[in-house]
Amino acid sequence: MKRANEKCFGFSILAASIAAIGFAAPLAWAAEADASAEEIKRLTRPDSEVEIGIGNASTGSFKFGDYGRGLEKSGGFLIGNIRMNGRSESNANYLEIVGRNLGLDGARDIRITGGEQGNYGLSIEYDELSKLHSDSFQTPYAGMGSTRLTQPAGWAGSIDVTPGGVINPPVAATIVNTTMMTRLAANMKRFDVETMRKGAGLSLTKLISGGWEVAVNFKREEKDGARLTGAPLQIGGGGSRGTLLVPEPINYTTDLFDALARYSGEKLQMQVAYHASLFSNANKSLVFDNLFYNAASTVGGNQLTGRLGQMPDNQFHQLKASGGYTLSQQTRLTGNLSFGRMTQNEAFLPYISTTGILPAPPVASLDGKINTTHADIKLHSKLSQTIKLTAGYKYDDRDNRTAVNRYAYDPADNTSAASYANAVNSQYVRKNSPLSKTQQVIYVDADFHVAKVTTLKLGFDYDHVKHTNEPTAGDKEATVKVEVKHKFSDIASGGVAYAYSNRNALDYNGSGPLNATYTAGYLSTQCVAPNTFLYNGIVTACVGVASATSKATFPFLDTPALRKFFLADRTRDKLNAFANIAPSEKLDLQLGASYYNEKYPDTAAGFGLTRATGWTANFDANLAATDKISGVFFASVGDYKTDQNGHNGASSATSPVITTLDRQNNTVAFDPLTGVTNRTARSQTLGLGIRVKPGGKYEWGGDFSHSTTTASTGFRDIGLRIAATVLPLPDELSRLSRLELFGKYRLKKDVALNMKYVFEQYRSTDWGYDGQTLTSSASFVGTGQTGPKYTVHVIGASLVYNFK
Amino acid sequence: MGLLRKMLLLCMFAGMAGTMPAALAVDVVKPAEKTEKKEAPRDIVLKGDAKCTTCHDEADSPELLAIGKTRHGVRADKRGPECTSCHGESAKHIAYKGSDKPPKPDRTFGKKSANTAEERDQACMSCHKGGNRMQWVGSQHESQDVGCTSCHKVHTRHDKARDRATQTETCFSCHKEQRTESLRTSHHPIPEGKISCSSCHNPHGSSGPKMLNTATVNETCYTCHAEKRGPFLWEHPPASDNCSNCHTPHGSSIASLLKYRQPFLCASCHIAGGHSTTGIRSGQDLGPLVTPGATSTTAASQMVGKACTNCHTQVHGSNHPSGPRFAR
Repeated sequence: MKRANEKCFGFSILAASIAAIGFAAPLAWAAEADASAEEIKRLTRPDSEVEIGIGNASTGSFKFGDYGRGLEKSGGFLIGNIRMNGRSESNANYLEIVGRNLGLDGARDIRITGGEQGNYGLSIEYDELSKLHSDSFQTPYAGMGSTRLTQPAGWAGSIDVTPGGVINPPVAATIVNTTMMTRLAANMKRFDVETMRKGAGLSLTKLISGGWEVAVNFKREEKDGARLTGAPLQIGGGGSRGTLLVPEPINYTTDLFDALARYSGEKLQMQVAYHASLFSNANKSLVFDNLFYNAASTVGGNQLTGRLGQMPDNQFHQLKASGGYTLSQQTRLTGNLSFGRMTQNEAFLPYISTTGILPAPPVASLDGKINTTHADIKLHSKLSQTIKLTAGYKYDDRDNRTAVNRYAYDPADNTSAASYANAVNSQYVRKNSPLSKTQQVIYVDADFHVAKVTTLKLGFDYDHVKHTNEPTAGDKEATVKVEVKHKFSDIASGGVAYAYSNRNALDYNGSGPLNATYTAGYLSTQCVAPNTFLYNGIVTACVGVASATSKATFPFLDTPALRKFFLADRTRDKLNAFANIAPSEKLDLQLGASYYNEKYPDTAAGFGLTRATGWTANFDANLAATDKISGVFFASVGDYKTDQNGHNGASSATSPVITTLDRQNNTVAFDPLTGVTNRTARSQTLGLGIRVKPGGKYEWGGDFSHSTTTASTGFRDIGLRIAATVLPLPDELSRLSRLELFGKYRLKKDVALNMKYVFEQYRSTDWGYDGQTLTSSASFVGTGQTGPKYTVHVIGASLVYNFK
Repeated sequence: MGLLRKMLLLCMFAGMAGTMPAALAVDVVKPAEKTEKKEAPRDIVLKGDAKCTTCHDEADSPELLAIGKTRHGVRADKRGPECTSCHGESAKHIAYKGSDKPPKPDRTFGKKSANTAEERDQACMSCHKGGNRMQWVGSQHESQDVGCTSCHKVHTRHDKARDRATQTETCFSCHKEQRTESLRTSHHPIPEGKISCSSCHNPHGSSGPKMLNTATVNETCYTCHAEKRGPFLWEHPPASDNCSNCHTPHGSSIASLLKYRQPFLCASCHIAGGHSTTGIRSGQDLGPLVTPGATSTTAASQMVGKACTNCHTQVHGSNHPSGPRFAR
């Protein structure tokens, strides 16, 4: 019985085992099948990710938090990122959501895209961008952030103008300077100067049969906040003014609209589009009280306010067409054509805020109109296996159709008409001078594969520009280019490129266009009788009376030998060189250098920018040490220099006398008042990064970057008359160091922990603000700002959930 | 006992029967055995990809299958590519039976590709030759042999070049000067990932200067800075002419992306227009800063703060009738 039972039991064990194998095998293989299918799904199906966490910034700094980092305040913040991809397995429907920095004001953005691929698509997006100008700005005004800035309580009458008094040095009581503002320091108030852009957009695309596609985009962007602007006022007669920086409230709305249809065929592709950009500003002006008022002033008054015009509403509409046609397998023709119109018709503000002093402007609004035209055509052809040729022509025209009128004006608001009469010989009557420009470019580029490993490129550009109402009617610039690239071996290649440009301006008349905006009556006073000058083609007599220093034979308002750098003759050399070396599969090295030298030969004999030169060099190394460890290193150095000829003072009665005629003709006698300002900027940048992915549950990495720029101002060849007063200026420095470490630990298959640490330090000096007090300048009220400096530590921890 | 035996026999039958679907299942999940069974290989991602994924499967080349996560991998979109659309028919590669390395596919895109940039680009341009890529042929990048796959990654869901937050990693790998400039104190929000290179440039070719998206520099700038477009009653010539006369777009050590510091920038064109000392600044202009101990208010308003723009605020143009000097 026992044996029978044992036999039976043994059989049973065997049978059960077979049964178990029988059940387990399909389960195991099914499990393997599931795992494999799951693996394939993991590899081929789009996944989604949600990240949620918290972080903390050790210190608040506008400079650190600038541009949407959203970390201008110390303390905790939320980390929120999302990336969702939904895609049907059975059809082409899709839905994607990408949201970044959702927990950070001024940094967040989200985009939702959906549709049926190959049929239609719809996209909605929202974006924030903050610009943090200053968190150390101060001003005495009340009402900051609004369009009306008022004196602080008790300011009126507080100006101490006691001649010889403690505060007021013995100066004319009619000219107020900042030291007379007895309530200035007590009334300075902080105001955060910042703007925020919020944009929302909607896009729709639809594919139509036959290779056509249509798309419509609309985006509205609102920009709110404040930026710093100047608020100058008259504080005395003539040109004496006082100013201070104030927050100008920003309330802009820009609507962008695009509608297009495009066709894509085998040989022909083309697109027609309409673009509109509509800008509107809710604020029309900024009004500010006169802080420089005193009862003894001959001009200005307690009730005087300044009024600054803000950016006017404007519109731009454009029709565009572009196309490309493949003429043959070797040759392709492309071209673009567009017509645009910029318009602006904002109602004019009165000349000054004090009514009854000056007449109304000749028209109520500008009715400004500029037509733009662009056309280009490009032909590219592969002439042979070794030669490629590209040639083209471009035409750009800006035709300013705005009406020209004369306007009497006041440089800054005043209560006195004495100096600003609308008289024929007043310097305060001018006409506007709409600027038009036509530019045509032809170019030819040829590539020669002179050997399998060597390429030679030759190019030529010819640029012809015409202007209106500029000192020169135009210029012509020719550029020749040559470049050689060579592959030395499988692991090394390099190249060098050189370009030379020569721009020649047509006859340069530095006085002409500026003079043309003034009246003949005023200009006639700027030169001495019995000389004459041409005004609108009419010979006009000079009426100025010659004196020891005033002897100009024709009128000029800025030094005639001055050349504007963007219009003047110029030669330019540009040189670039690079080398790429890959000594192993794992290491890439890149070296590069560039140099440019711009000379303004005509200016060198006169005034203005005479030379701009610079060079940079960089080294990069990319290392993929193993599949699990990679790193990058880069370093760049650069040096930029400019020379600028200038002069200090216009004439001098001190023997030997320097006259306006000396200045007019830039004679040797003028040299004692001239000199050269040279600016230098040196920069060094280096970076280092490492990524480690051991393949287990964790990965980590880090980046370090350091950037330093030092700018210096120097003077040389300073004239004898001014040598004693020209003192060196301090350097300006900016230095940014940043270390970022991050790690990722996979807690579960679909859940990971992200850790992040950031150290950032910034140092800067700026002599425009550093060391300046509220009253360092007699006519400029200090703002209390200094060059930004900060040291910030940021830590963050977040959970990332990954799902299909 | 008989009942027990019957039950056990049933168990055995069931167990054996159970192995059948498992055996069939093996055929599904073990591609290596598929050929032995002479069944047609199945596509994994793209239409007709079985001829490739038979070898390049999840074990051999898992990274290649990620194309399924991209738009290229949507088979329901009839425009979608096959492997051979880009890599060519590659008959020799497919037919190779040897044990060593097979011949390369007709078209490859890796670092050591034997194909020219033009040949590689052809794979993309056969479908993507319209729209913004119309001017690719003969463009700056194309003529420098910078091909589509120099920047774009096709077999990955996240193509860095198409994400504004990561695009600079691609562009800066060649454009080192712009990388350096973007790290300077005044810059567009490029490092912050709020705008990217392609916000202004069309890397696929453009008729504008410097491959800009629009025909002129100013038109590009006005896209975001529309308030500076005007037309203004009083135009400032360098601003109307070209924004880059005064600004350098990729980064500057001077505020507002200026090329030179004020007042020297302004003195490039204005020496004595009402301010007879603008051309050469004297040390007195900074007042007590450079004359230690001095208490006089000697700092010139043209030097401190925002320098010239302390008063001449409207340098982009003024629409105020009293604005010919850009102070209103």
